[in-house]
Amino acid sequence: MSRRRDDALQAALELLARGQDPEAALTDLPPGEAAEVRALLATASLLRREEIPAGAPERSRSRFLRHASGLRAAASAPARRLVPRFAFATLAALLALALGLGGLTEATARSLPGDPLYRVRQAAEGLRLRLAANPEDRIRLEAVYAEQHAQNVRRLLELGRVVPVSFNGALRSVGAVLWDVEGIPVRLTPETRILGEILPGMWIEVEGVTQVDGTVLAAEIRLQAYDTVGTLEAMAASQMTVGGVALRLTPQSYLEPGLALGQRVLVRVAIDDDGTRRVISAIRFEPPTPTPRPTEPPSPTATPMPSATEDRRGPPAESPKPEDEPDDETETAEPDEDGEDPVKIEFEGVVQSISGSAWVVDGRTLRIDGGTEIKDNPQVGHTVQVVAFQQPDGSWWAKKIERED
Amino acid sequence: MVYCLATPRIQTGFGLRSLTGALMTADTEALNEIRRLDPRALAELHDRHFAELYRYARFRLGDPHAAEDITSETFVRLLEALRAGRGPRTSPRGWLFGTLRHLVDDHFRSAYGRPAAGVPIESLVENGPDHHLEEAEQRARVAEAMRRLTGEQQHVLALRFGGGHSLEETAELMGRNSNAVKALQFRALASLRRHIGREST
Repeated sequence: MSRRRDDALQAALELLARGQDPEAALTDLPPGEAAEVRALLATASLLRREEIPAGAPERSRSRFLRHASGLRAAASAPARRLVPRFAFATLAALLALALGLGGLTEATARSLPGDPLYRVRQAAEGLRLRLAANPEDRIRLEAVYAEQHAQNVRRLLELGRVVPVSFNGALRSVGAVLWDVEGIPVRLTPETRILGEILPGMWIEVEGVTQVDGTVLAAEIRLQAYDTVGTLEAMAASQMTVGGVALRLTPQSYLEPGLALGQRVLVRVAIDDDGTRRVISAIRFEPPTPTPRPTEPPSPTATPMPSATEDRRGPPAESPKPEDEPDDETETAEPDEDGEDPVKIEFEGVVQSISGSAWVVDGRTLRIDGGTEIKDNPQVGHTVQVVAFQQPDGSWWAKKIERED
Repeated sequence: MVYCLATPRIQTGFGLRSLTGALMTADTEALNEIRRLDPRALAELHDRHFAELYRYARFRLGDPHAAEDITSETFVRLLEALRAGRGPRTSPRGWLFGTLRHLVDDHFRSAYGRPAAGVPIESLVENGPDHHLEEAEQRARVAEAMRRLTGEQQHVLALRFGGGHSLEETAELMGRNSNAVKALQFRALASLRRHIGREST
């Protein structure tokens, strides 16, 4: 009986979608069931499909590409650039520094503002920025560090620590007392100093103190930069015009080679103390073509990310998936750097916490993402069966979490 | 009775398969370039999927700002997964939807226990004078009722009505067969109707 109602509802929805009378789908139902389906059609008519706000796709794309740019720089800069560029003495200094900090590397990398080792981490970041081979690499490194600093603040808020912090990022939304900066709630008070004409979407620097309520209490907020997309209308040695706005060029401005008048460009603009708009970087910003390009062979300098053909060592074979489950979301844990199969564990335990795409089951923290199969809606306190794989960084990625009780 | 269904995109057999197949093929062919973090391939991937992911998030969250943040975060998570040697093997689309769903669920979990902000009224009346207060109130009731559904029920309604996905596409994205989705759809709408009734009283 329920199958008949399910089918009738679906058929009625399809008729409605075509602008036809849904009653035709209800003729075979008893009056009581037909009335029930009509009521659900009325409920469905309350559900709306929302429009996409202007600028939202561009903001998201900008963040996505900026993050990717940072990852490319982090993955490729040290290996490709450092060796041929620096003198032997510099290499020796770097080696000494690496040896000196060797035992601290792991702890340093994980240190947070307020930790004793955080100053070492800051010094290492400063060194890498100074050693950046060119302005392009420097910009990418800065993007990586900006993302890491925001991540540090999120971590501090999770831990409930009260620590002075400084971070920068895009201002996503503005409320009366709370601003959203890169997903971090920043609380303003009458004492908060705001420098610059700041609008959502702009890049700002926040100085403040993390609070136990999960916010950052802002002491000062400064406009740093903003991204803008427009047509490149004019270009001279010291100035370019984008979308009717004149922007100053300096030797430090990074311009993507081959920029031409009339092209759409994505420009990161810094606001100097005198209010001048200065170009940090300008790159082409062409709308993507609607059809996919043919796959090109990997270039010799490509970032060493695994390709589909390299996905030969996945998790050990498991029982076949049901026919109604697509297998294109199947995840593969990559082999370790030494080529070993990833370590797999299966265990039963109690869910202790669920937050931030990380679950704790029997004291073990598991990372979850879109590749994680979660069955039967487990909640904190439920017993679950877990299949997980260890990642190169030592963390555990859950392939499957299934409620047992 | 007059119904006004805002959604639907009806795809029948061959047409749906062609569309879904084309999306999957496009994604699959671009996957190698995505793994290499090729900017053009990444921009194509983003622009191909942003709208459907945003609509899903907006439908479930109600708040346009949160929907934008979480949709954007979904794409960043893809990069992080690729960096860790994980991520999709053949098609990013299902992976993106799976991750988005987790993030939305996380958002609700983290909001649980905090003072309920509700759906910002400005987001309900943002489209201007044509949208009267009465309609805004009705939307608020629907949004509140939506939050009382199970995650699975919210998921199916968000895909079907928020994203406008066909039954077959929804089944594919949920990893279920069509009959299971029909049954879930029925239960979700029935539950939503009950909760709207409670909100109204």
